[in-house]
Amino acid sequence: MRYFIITAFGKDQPGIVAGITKILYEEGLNIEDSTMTRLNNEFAVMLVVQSDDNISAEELKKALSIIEKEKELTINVKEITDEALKDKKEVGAVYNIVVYGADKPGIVYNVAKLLADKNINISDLRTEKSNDLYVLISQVEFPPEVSEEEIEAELNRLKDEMNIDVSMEKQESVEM
Amino acid sequence: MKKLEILRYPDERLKKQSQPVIDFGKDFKEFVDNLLYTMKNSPAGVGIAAPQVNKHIQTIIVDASGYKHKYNKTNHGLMILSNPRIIAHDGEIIIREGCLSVPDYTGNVKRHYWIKVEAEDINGKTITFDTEGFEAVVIQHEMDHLIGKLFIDRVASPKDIFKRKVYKK
Repeated sequence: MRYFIITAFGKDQPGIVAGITKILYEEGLNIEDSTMTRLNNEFAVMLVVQSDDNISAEELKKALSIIEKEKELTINVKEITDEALKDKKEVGAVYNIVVYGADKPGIVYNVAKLLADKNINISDLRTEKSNDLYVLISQVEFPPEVSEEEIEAELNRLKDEMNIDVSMEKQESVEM
Repeated sequence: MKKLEILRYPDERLKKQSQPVIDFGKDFKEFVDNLLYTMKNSPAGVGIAAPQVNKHIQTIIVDASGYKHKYNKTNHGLMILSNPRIIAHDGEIIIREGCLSVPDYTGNVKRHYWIKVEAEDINGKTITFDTEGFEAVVIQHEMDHLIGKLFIDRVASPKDIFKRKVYKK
């Protein structure tokens, strides 16, 4: 089995997802994981696909070139190595961190730097801006050695420094 | 007592409508014992519905007493409810729900915050009670199984459903 990551983006219009996934379907590829979303007026597609056949990244890229031309997209294909697939790390706990406030430069950078300095991995992050309100929503993974109090203190420091609001909540789900 | 096999989506039997319980006799009580045992031996052990073990009768078991949750302020302990009906409700609550029958996903689901429930107890006697918060959510989650609905059917938006992306060694 081979795995590839595909990115595609271009001016938002109907038919981008249909066009790309038609080719993947015809090539016998499974979509393992994906995010497809509109960013301003651009539509961005990120996919991890899996193939049972021995298709190469070049062949896949070539197959996708039809839709690339038709919809004027920019498409990239990269094979994911076996080592990268097997590399699973230990996670202590998952937290949701939400930061919001008046728009100003450096919100994302300062939050991300704080997390990186503590070896906290971001598994999902999105930002929205509406008029002057800036919102950052993220899901992060604490390594086992990091404590909630420690990060809460750091985030509170950032909150005062940048005059933003921050909330952090442990992500818990209940099996019902 | 024995642990019953829990159906997992995409098993079509999870989407079937369950029938009202009429006979609260020995067979029913024996089934409830096994259902309770199955619930107690599952990860959180807060709730289970009969159709989850392929018995399509309107019986649910809920026990919120042993689970720490910020919305778990009041609960009735172990409850075995048949033919449950929500006769009044108020407010809204969103909790991240998981399900024994949908093990790989969790989702944010909007439910009634306060509910008044009418149901039959283990002996078929009609009871009425009201509850709120966590226990109310568990009851609504389990009641959905009786009409073939899963939490995924109730998820508010694409941003509210999550694959378990956490890797553990």
